[in-house]
Amino acid sequence: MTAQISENVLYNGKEHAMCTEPLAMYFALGGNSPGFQFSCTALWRGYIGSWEIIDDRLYIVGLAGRLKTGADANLATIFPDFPERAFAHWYSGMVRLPMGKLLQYVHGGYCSTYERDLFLTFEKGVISKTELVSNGESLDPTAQEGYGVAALTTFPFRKNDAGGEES
Amino acid sequence: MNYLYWYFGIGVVVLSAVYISHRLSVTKESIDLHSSLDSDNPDKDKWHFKLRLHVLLPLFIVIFGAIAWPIFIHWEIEEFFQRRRTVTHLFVEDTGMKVTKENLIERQTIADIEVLESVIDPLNSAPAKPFGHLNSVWENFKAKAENEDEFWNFEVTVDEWWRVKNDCKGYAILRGNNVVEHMMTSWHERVPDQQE
Repeated sequence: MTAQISENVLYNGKEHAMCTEPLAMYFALGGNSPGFQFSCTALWRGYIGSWEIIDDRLYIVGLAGRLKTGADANLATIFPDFPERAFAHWYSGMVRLPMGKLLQYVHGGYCSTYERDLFLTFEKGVISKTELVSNGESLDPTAQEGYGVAALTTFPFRKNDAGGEES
Repeated sequence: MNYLYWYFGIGVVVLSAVYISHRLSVTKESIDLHSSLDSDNPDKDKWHFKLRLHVLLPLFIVIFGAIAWPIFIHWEIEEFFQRRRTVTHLFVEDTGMKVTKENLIERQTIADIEVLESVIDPLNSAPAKPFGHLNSVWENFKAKAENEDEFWNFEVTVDEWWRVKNDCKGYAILRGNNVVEHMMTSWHERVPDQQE
């Protein structure tokens, strides 16, 4: 399995990669899943979500993806009444924000190791615990700073009856 | 030998059909997603990436398709049926989680549950209803209950692959001695020191 593109989160005024997918829990709990189209080996879930933590509460504030119907997906596709921001009250569990330089690259899931991991524990969408874990220090001055994937293959999207531009 | 020619011949026909169908149905990627994927791909302008994408991958597909074309037909049939059904409870389907009477913890009234699970967000970014964005799941669940049924909360441990254990919580409808419906509200993967 290819390393996966992370979600993005704005926390304490800084953008971070987020190696957890809180929206997956929403779908698993019965939330309406519009059916995302897989188009890239590094994005099995078919979408990239943008998140924000405001006053210790987790919100999804954006989404980019493509549906199996051929239509573009955005936040309104999942939360029609909350197209700008939706409170992730359904999410309980841990969120991992990798930080610092790359220590060990693993080309699968979110398995690569970075210098630090900030773990945020949420209870019904509200932070209940934060923990910064140090994984060591990179001795390689050229080591990649921040989360990334080393390689991916993209596939063209397929059109369906909902339309979409032809190439 | 004749059979082998026939087999590869059918493979070429199937591949051609798949290719033509693909050319007719291909669309441009969404601009937002395309730029995100591009920015995350460090190799997009390198020759080896282009060689892999435009030569090796198509070559592999042609060889694989000529040999294993029945799989393409199987995928097409599966996709056809998948389009016809809507799957929402992926997690439950994947794990085969079952809730039994032994997993029930405490009997609760609908009113209690709705107070406990009400969502209030200071930024008004969730419906001010029980279970918030998942209110329709709750309403559908409630509608399945009959007059004499009881509502209970439950907790169940699900074993997944590679010794991973998940603690799942939610509500169940008890009819007589049997749990007839359940609604999951959370699951946690156990951290290693909680694993047995």
